[in-house]
Amino acid sequence: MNTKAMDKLLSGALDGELTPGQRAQVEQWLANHPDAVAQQEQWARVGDLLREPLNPPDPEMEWQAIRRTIRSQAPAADAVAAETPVFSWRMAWAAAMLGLVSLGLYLIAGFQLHQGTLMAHGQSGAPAEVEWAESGVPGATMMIFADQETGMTVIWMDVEQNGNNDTKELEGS
Amino acid sequence: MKTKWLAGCLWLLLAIAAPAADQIHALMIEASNEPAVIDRRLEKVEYKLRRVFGFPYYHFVAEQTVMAPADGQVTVPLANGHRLILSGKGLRVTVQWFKNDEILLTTKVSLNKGSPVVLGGVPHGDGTLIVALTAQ
Amino acid sequence: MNKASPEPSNSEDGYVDWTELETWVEQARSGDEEAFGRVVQALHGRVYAVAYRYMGNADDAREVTQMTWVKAWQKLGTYRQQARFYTWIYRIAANAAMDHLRKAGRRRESEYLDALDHSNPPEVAASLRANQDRPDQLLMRKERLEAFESALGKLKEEHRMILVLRELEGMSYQEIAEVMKCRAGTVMSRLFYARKAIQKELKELL
Repeated sequence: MNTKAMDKLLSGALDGELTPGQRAQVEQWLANHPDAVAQQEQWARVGDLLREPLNPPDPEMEWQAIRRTIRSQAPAADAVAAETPVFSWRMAWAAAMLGLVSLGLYLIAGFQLHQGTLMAHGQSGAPAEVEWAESGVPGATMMIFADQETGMTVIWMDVEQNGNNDTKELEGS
Repeated sequence: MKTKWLAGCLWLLLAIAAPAADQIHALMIEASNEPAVIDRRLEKVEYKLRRVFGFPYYHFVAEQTVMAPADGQVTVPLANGHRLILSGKGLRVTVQWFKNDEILLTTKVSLNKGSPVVLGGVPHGDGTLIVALTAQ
Repeated sequence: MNKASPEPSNSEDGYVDWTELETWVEQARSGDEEAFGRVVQALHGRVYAVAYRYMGNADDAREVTQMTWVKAWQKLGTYRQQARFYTWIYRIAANAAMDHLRKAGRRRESEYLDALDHSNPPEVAASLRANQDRPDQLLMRKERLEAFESALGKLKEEHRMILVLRELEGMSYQEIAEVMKCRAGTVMSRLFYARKAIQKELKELL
């Protein structure tokens, strides 16, 4: 047996997934190859690292969020089921017309895109330019920056939070 | 009957073929530490916000799409007394952010299609309000 | 070298009775939302851990975990009790995680590594807090954990998921094969390659 095939068995042995025959082969190999023992120990440490404790979100709060999603989706699904259309010639005619209009739209959109007059939603072009910005909140300072990675231009108002009446008013918003 | 249909379709196609007017989409979001449910309305922007800002959760508040002002001004009503007034021509606009009658922020920007301008920093509860403006 | 079998547990007290869990699942199948809530809370930490190790950051892990449970609720009608519930739920979680990567259209390796750029991500911090090491040992542990997460991020997606299911959940090759819809022999090969790749990447850090 070549080393690679034996290595694979060593990995399988670590998981307790070998036949008795394979296990005997591995045990014999381990007895004669101390480096294989070290290798198995290193693989076992990979598992230990994966099992390092995490910091999961609170399950109860997560369940509240999941439940809101489930509930918000349920009526929509029922409504779709209730409104399943029945075939009619009028609907077929309307669908054909819709298809025709969609085709027209598709061709025109393609043309406009080619002409550079239309940009798909979400597709980032050059970032926006900010000429100036000022805050209406006393004591607030403005920050302007462009994030190249996301293509976003940010105009951020940094409001002083300590003892500022204007801030407190805003908090009630 | 069929002639009328065809004429209607032709008119529609011609109308669409005319250069499309610019639109501005405003999306109001509350960024906070309060856990939020995954909201499809924020799908296109949430991961970007998370990269730029320190808040872990983003709640949808309101959204509006308006025609870009044609040498005049356009009001964008949002929620809880917040509104934007856009003035100027096309995508080069002065944006005023109001909370009721109080002006919070004013800026002059030239929007580019698909590249959002994010206005933010207005304190709201434990978080902050953000408005993402995108030309479409 | 014992084969670890997936013991029922949750993040709170480390133990949940699978028989009880199957009862809740059965109640949930008949539309009992509260019973489903108990299932979610019992297994949430485990599904999150798998998602975190696969996605490499807390935000994506949280989204994938939420998606997993929403999909599970929608598909509960298709769950057959011949299959173990945990294999079924991990099948959904694995699909949700892989879908999330594809849908986002992001290159995971760089994304995964980006997520490790923070000086002390909460997960690394949690892990460090759990141990009372000296400062120099703490630093070494931190470096080792970060290097490990980086190496994990460089694995092929399928290899990473298989390694996570095996080491974190103690699933057998047959169970992983059911989750990943592949043969048990393939699981064995992929596990071997995953371990070998991490070992090569970490070298003396292991």
